[in-house]
Amino acid sequence: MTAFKGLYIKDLKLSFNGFIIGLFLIFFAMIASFALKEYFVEPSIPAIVSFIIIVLHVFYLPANLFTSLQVEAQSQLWLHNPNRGWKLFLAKIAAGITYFVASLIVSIILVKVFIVRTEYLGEFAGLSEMLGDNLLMIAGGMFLSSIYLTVWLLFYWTLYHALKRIPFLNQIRWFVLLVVWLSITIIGNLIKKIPVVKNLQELGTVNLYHFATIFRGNTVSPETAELHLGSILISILITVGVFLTSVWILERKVEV
Amino acid sequence: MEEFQASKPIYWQIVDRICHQIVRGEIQPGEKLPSVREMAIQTGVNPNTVQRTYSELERMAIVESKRGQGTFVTEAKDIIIELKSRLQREIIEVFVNNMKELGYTKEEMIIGLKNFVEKEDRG
Amino acid sequence: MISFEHVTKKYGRETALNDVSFTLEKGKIYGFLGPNGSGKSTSLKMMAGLVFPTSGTVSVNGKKVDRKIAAEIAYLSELDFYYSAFTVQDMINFSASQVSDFDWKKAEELVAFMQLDPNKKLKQLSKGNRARLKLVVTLARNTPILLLDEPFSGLDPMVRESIVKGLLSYIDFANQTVVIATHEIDEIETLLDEVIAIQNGDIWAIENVEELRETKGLSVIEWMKQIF
Repeated sequence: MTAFKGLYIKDLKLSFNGFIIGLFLIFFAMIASFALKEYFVEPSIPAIVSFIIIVLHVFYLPANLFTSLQVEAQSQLWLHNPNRGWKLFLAKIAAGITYFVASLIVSIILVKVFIVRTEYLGEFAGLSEMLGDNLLMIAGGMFLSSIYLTVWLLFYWTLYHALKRIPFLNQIRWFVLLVVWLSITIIGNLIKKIPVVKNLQELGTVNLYHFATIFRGNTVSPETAELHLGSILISILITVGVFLTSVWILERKVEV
Repeated sequence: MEEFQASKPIYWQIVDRICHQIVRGEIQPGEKLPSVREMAIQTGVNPNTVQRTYSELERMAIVESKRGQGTFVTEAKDIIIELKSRLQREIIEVFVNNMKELGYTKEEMIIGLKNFVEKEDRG
Repeated sequence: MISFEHVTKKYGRETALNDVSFTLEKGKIYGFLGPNGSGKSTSLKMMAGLVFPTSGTVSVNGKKVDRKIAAEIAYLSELDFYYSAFTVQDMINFSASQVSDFDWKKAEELVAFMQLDPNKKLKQLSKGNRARLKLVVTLARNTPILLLDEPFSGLDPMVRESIVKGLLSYIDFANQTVVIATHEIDEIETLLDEVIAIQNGDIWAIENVEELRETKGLSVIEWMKQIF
């Protein structure tokens, strides 16, 4: 067994309970939505609930990773390992993605089975069409956003645990994280305003006409249907950069 | 695991024990001693210390180490006899010194010893 | 060879280690002795690259220690930390996958020696059996250096004895350097080559156990009572 596979299996085991609980919550929400539908005589409730379930999956990966990391944080003894930090993190992300995909597939099946076939959806008909025709696209987008959120979670988690070795910051670690977050957000916004960056972001705009026509007149605004390759590239660079920074902090600054 | 006295090096205490066992006949001439590792586990003592014990016994010619086979108690009778008399000498020395310290004369020591041994013989 | 050169570790105003310098030689068993909070645990973690000095250098075989040193060091933590979803076998498989020096045969022997059931979940094991398992996965590695932090702490005499016997049976004495940090000297006195007395972050003395007996007529415990 390779080191990565060993880590991956370990991480699958660490968050298996979380996965099961997640599935239970999804089933419970679906059942509750049908109960509510009967009670309020409002046929669109299951559609809305299933839509929410799918959208909430954006947070699935970060949540999964957080619980998994918290197990390690009890001792940080996982750092007594000759394998590099990126491997430790990537194995966790891989395990998280496994459960994320599984949970998403279950949710999508539920949506397909229960919602799309619901005969009357009233004003939510568009929602149904969207869920029916563009699920893969939505899932893909959510997956990427999820990864993006996840590396930021890694960053703040490692930073939080690295601060432990600095006693005068130890007591106010949450506050420090808030300050760091605010600074990064403000600096990020300032950078975005630089014309060059703006141009870069809008580079390679792809219009998704097909996608856009479907939503005309619905809640989703037409801009969402524009894809900027430039900003995607920037996001990828940020993701990689934040990941590597987290690895560096984990290896150099987090103590057992 | 065995107990050891604080005042003497452990390797020396094990040397003593093995010598006593040889004199008592618990270990026969020509018999193989446990390997260093086995002896270490039996006694709960660091193998480096056991190794030192065996080296010391070898220096005293009480054991011989045969390459690849282990450590064996010597079959040379004179060495065993010499070991016996050495242990006897040591015990007598302690006895005599203690008696001297209490102020007994040589004659008193011999008479006392004689009486004690005869009494033991009678039961 | 492990060496500390003017190593200081501070946690804010608290000093865990105070300008400490010493060298540990290959193939010996060292006892790091001192009361709780004396700095012995911190020292071991530094050797393992799990804690970094505030100033000074910790090096192993001439290389400055960082987290990569885990490839050459097997470290046994004092913590009773475990993955609760793991079985004994899972733990062995996982440990084996992470390092290149894992000796499966030794691990198997050790599991039998420690009388552990490979199919038992770790959370169902007693604390003593978990301590035994920790020792199994530590000793199953063929590393030049072995660090044991409080291997006896909170364990009953039976477990302590099996740990001592495990050490005696499976340490490679000619090649492995072993450092045992403990405040319980009884169990390991006869196991040690050298003792390092540490208190309040200062190294008080380093002595050879047999020499202590030979020249001063003292056991380690008596000696400790004298110097502290």
